[in-house]
Amino acid sequence: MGIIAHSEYIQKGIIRNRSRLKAVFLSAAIIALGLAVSGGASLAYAAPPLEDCDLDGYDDATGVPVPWPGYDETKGDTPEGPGNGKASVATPTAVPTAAAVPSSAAIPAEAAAPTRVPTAAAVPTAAAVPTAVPTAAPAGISAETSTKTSTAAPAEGSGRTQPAGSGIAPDSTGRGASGNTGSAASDSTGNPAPDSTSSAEDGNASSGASGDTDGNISSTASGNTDSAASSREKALQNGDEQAGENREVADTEYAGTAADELQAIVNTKGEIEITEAAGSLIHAGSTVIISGSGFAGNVPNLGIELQSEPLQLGSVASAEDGSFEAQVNIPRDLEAGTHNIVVLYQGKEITCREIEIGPRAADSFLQAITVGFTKDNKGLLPGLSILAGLLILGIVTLAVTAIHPGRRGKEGEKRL
Amino acid sequence: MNIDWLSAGALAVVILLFAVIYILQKKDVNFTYIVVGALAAGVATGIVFSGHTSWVMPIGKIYVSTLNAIVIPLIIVSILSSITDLSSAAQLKGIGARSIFWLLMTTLLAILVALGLGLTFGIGRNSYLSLDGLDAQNFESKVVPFSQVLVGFFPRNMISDIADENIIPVILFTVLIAVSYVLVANNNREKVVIFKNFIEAVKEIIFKAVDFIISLTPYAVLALVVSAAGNGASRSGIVWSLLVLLIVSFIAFAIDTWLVNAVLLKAFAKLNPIKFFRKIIPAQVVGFSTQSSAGTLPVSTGILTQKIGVDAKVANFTTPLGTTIGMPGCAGIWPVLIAIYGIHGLGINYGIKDYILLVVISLFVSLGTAGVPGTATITTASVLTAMGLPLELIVLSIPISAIADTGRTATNITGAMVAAAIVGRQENSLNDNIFNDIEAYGAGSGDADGSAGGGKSAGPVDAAPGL
Repeated sequence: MGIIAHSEYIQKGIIRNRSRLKAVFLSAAIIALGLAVSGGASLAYAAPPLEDCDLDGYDDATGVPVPWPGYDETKGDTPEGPGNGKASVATPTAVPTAAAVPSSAAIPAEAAAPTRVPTAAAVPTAAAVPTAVPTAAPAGISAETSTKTSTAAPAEGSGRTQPAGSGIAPDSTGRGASGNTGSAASDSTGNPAPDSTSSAEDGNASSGASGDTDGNISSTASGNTDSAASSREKALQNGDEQAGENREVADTEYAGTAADELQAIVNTKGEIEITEAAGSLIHAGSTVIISGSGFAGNVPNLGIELQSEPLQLGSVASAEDGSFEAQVNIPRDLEAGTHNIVVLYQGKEITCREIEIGPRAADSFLQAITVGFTKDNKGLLPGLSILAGLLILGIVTLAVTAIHPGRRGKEGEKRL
Repeated sequence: MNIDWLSAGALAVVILLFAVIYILQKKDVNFTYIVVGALAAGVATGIVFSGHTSWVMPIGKIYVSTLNAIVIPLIIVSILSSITDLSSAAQLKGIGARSIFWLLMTTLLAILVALGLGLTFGIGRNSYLSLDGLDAQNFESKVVPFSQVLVGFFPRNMISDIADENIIPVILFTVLIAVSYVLVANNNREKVVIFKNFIEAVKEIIFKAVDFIISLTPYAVLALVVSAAGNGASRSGIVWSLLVLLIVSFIAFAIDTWLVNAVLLKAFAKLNPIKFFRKIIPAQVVGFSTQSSAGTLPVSTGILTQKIGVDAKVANFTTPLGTTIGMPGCAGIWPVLIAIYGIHGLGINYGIKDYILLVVISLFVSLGTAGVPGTATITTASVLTAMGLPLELIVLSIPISAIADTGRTATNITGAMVAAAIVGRQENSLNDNIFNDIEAYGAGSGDADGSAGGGKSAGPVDAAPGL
């Protein structure tokens, strides 16, 4: 019996173990399948980088349309802008609106529509005439045109990248603009166009030379191919260089427009209303609600500062209609008295409002019971005067009635 | 439809606590204990359901509105009843005038004491009151030029004065009607007996209504405190300031009861204050515990006649009159302290004229009070309304008002008894032998009505006592 039971037990154990193994294997299979599917999906989703080396506006391998002719993800290009370390400048997105830059917008109207790098439109010209000279010769004009174009173009991009309505990032514009202004200025001073032209020519010469050299070996079969490839390379190189030029000039343009925008924002004087969040008097340690109206619309990072001592309270973004509402805390250790709430933008004051801030609320019984015995209590002297007056009145009354006891006193004496 | 389940839960808890309060009232648990218990439960509930007490708030608002509604009817019937109780013009000139004068004098002195203490301690300063629906930063009380106020004291249109809650004109007009009744009744009582009966009937009804409203106080305290705590009104600044208000109020009660009255007794009643206070302790204790001046009347009049030696005629007139006119605790000290608390807490700039107006209005309001528990809430509502201050201040003070009611009632009773003693002295109706324990009450002339012996007034014997 015992042996049979034991064997049954063992058999049951084996069956149990098999079941467990099945369950484990099944679970592993499911997990693996899931990973495989998701991995495959991610792999499938992760398409190869897009390259448009032939500058036709489509990926060379898949034929997928690219953001702009010459778009090359292997070089770090993104739909927002070219790569090569200048993507952070985001000059295509830096400029707020075409309306904000009216003068520049007027010119590149025709070029604003097509592409981010309108020089790409000029690049096919460069491809047809591989030398960069034709494009470089009118560098003053075309560069300016392309700059203004790219100035305007990013406006579209800014709308897309910041759909929440805050729209732009003028800060980045300003900073980017200022940074690039300096570099662009020096570049323009250094007449970059001829340099790029000459370098393009050099490139062409070198590529041409290399092409010729290479052609000795494979020119019979692929001479035409080689020449076409080399011309493509030259055009691409020219395109890259010219794109770089355009970006630098665009930065200069952005800098100028950003300064105008800053001034426009600062000059749009709004009004603010300040109320205590709980409805009581404003005092140190309280929370206040600052409601603004009439400011420039879609301005992020409006700073709110408390002055007498400059103290940053917070920042807020204005809505499209120029209004905002912010809740800020008054520091608990702030000295009571008259202060100013200032709304500013990039360090420049837009509007200011004076407020009276009371001392901190009585946080303890001792503070509450001694709150009257301070110099701030204007009722202290009148209160003490009233009490003193009552005391004096009482003493005088007692004295008078003691001196002149009246009818009762005389009757009492008679009774006694 | 999105339902705020937490708010619903808060309301459900409050309704449950209402049931508990109802049961406690049915079991005749002390009113003060119930109110204090409601206060504690309200704070806890408000904290638990913090931010979700909006469904409970209307209950408190309804109570405050109902309270406000009963103010003017109560004032009118109280004044009419008190003054029309004077059976003759002679009585009106004699005991009546003196009683009213001294009752108002004790109240005026109490008002000044409260004003002095309130300003000195700066009650409400740095409390930063946050009242529902009120923006303290932009609040402007309805204070008008003093000359305009003076003109406004006098009635122009009773209907509009009642509708606009102009308390002073209502009081003055009511006094005019009451005095006119006495003068007519002096010549032909039968002609106006219907009016007197009508007034007494209305008085009973209104007093019953007041009783009912005041009995709702624990429910109101619970609802109001839940809302206040749930909205974060339990900020430390407000809590500590309310505690200081309570302490200052008791200081004011003590000063008025034992210092001010002592001077009055010594100067005008020619009585030893210490002996007087020792003799009236039983009445003060009863008043302290019942919080009802009217309920303490039998004890008060008994002590006045049997221990102090005041003639029954005077005692039976002045003391009951003191439950409807005067009341230094309920109509003098408390409303003034609440008003000052609100003025400081809301940061309202009050000048000397404004404070004088506060004193005058408080004195006028004291003309029409009711000797029932919670009458201080009604008189405070009257003063705040007249001063243009928010009634929501009562909401904040209700929790501590229940505790202060004990001291208020004792002050009221003492003030009324002191006034009766002074009137008795001035009417030559005070037996010093009884006061000095030389002779016992009723052992003097042996009058059947138990009137006092030596020192009795030599004036005309009135047909009936005041009440």
